[in-house]
Amino acid sequence: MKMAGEKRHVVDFLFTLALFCVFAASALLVVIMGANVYKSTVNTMTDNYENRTSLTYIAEKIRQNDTPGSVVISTVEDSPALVLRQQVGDREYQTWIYVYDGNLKEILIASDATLNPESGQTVKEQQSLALEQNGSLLTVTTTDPAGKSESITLHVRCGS
Amino acid sequence: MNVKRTSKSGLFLLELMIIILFFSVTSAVCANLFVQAHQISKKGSDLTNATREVQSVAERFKAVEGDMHDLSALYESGLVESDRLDLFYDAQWTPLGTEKTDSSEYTITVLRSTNTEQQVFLNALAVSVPAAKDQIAQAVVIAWDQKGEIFSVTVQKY
Repeated sequence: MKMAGEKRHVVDFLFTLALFCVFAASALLVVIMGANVYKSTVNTMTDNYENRTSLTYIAEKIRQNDTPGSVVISTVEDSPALVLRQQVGDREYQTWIYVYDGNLKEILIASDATLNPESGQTVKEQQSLALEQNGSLLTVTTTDPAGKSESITLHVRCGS
Repeated sequence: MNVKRTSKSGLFLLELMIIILFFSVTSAVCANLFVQAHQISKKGSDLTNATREVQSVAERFKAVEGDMHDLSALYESGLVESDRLDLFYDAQWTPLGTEKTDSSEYTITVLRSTNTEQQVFLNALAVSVPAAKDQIAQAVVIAWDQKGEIFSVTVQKY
């Protein structure tokens, strides 16, 4: 009788222990699922930010200066640069947008001044910037620090 | 004595089962929220990519002044319908060209306006294309997938 009781006791204990282990494993699984979803959501938000910010910024800059002869493609230390010309009074100024030292930079200088790439104001981190003009279509391709590239095509009224 | 031991184990087991019951209900709610969060995140990503690509297509439409043959030539394709051009993209919004493949997940359709208002059906999605006014090249550029419209613009070239 005592031995039978002891066997039941052991079985009870093992069943309860197994049920507890299932509960603990399920709780752990839910936590891991939540962590994965959060990680995925943060990564998507970061990609959207990298994707949208640089291209939207450059597109708006081009549209603000879209007059004949005002949008030109140039280079800064062998890297493509966007030059936006504007006349203020009797003096011409240029806004240079380029990638230097892993950052997208912008600088406003007089046309007859010498450009110092380090002096530009940092907009955001960027790996590279590529510009291609085909007639009135200007294609801007940006590569974010993670190496992902996105591009946008703009119809400019002005030529190079 | 045995009855007491059994009673203690039984009580603990009962408590554990009640805990598991509440945990099951809570984890079901959490799993539902996780799925919704993932779907909202994906929807936001799709909208970002769709906005960028639709904008590029609309700019190209303006560059060719509404000529659908020139627009299809930019995408290295022949035009099947004179007032419609379909561009296909995979799950990562990589362009696949103008022919649908197994990996096509998103579509951008350019619907050029004619003299009369039209109703065009893109699978189950009904798109109203307004009539074009004189001396204006007009088109509806719409990004869509199996679930419906993601983003659309009406582009006009004077």
